[in-house]
Amino acid sequence: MRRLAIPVLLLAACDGQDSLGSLAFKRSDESGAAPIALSASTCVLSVAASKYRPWGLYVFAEVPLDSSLIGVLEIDVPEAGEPKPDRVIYRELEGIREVFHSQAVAGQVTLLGPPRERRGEFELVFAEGKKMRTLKGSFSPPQRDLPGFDAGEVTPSSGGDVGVQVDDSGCDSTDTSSSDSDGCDGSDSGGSSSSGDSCDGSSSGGGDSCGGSDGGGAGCSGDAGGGGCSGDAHAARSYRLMTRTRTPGALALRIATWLLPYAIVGAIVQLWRRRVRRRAVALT
Amino acid sequence: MLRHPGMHVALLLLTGQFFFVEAQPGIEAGEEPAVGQALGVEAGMGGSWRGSLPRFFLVARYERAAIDYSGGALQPGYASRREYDDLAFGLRILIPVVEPVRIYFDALAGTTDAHAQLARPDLPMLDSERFRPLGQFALGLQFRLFTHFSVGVRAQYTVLDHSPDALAIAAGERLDPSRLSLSATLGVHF
Repeated sequence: MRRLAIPVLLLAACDGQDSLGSLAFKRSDESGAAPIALSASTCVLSVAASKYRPWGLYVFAEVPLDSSLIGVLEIDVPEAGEPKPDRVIYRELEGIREVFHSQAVAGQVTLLGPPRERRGEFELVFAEGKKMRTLKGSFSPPQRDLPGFDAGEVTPSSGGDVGVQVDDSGCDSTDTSSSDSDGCDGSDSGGSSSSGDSCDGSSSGGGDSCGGSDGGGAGCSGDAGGGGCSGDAHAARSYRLMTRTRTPGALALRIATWLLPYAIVGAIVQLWRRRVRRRAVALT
Repeated sequence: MLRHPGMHVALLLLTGQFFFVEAQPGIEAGEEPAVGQALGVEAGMGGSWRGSLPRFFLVARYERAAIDYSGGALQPGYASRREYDDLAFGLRILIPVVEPVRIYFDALAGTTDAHAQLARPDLPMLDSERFRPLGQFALGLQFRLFTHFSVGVRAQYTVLDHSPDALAIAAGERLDPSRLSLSATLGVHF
């Protein structure tokens, strides 16, 4: 019986292993050109490397954009609540030279199940000064199909399942699917914020409410990403980053599955002890 | 009185050394091309059958190793630190060659709590913690200077699983999932 305990413990120990996976997205930028579908040449999905482990997921992907340009996407999100914007990064590299490094991010990552299932969808708007990249896609572990994502045109203002919230001071987000309870208090609790003085004040639900050319809270001259704009009299505009999980009531199940190996080992040990005691009694 | 089985055991324990505890300070080359410090503690229980030259010990071993690396296998400016807490169980076969010299071979299996950190310029630090299965094979030379004390040297090869490593991939490096350590040993026998 003790022999059974070892594989059970090993299975429990290996639960947090990193795994290679697949990631694909449609990328668009501030030029207004049609989005391009791309898939990662390298993608790793890890609960162990998440800042929020074991309740989070870290995704790292390298996506060839053309012969000399590589997009590097890093997503580190908790299972629920607001991830830190500095843990969701998109860069574009030409060799070792960065041609784009996101300074602000908005959007939503949806985990399809608990983090260890490593499946999810995302729609994220990254900004660096006036440069903007919008990525809409999904990721999954090996031998699992990528979750489908809307192949339509990706714009930050698209509706549907977009979780980007733009909180203008008026609290008029048109986000139709967000399940969090951020409220509209105007506080920038999770996203980066900037004073978007070139924005027209519309809040159509995407990150491009600044006329489509200065997403991510740009509009602050000389400011990379808008994160460091000196706050002044302009209306505060906060871009929220959110994570959702589509497994309501999964907490109890998850706790049960975590405890199960230990319960089994405990039962095995108890049975073994009883057997030893019986033998001892029989001998005496 | 000797008919009682417990008395045989008591006599054996009084007349020989069936347990040992070893401290094993040393250096270790990790999965990256770097060397760090390591400290192991190994305890065993066993002996030999009548007439048998080799002695057999069931052993338990704990080792902590920490290895820093910032070399060319990583992307420029990156620096990593990998720490391992190994716990393994197995068998030691010890053969007396010419007193007081003995050689031994260890084969162990267990798990390691592998903690890795990756510092990157202009990017947040990444860190990872996961349990990984391991196998350890060691060859040692022991000088039993006194009845209850020995010194020696030991070389150990640790094999780790080949699972992907998120931090290594983020750093653009390829890991060699094995570690090699060299250590001195200080043993107490009782």
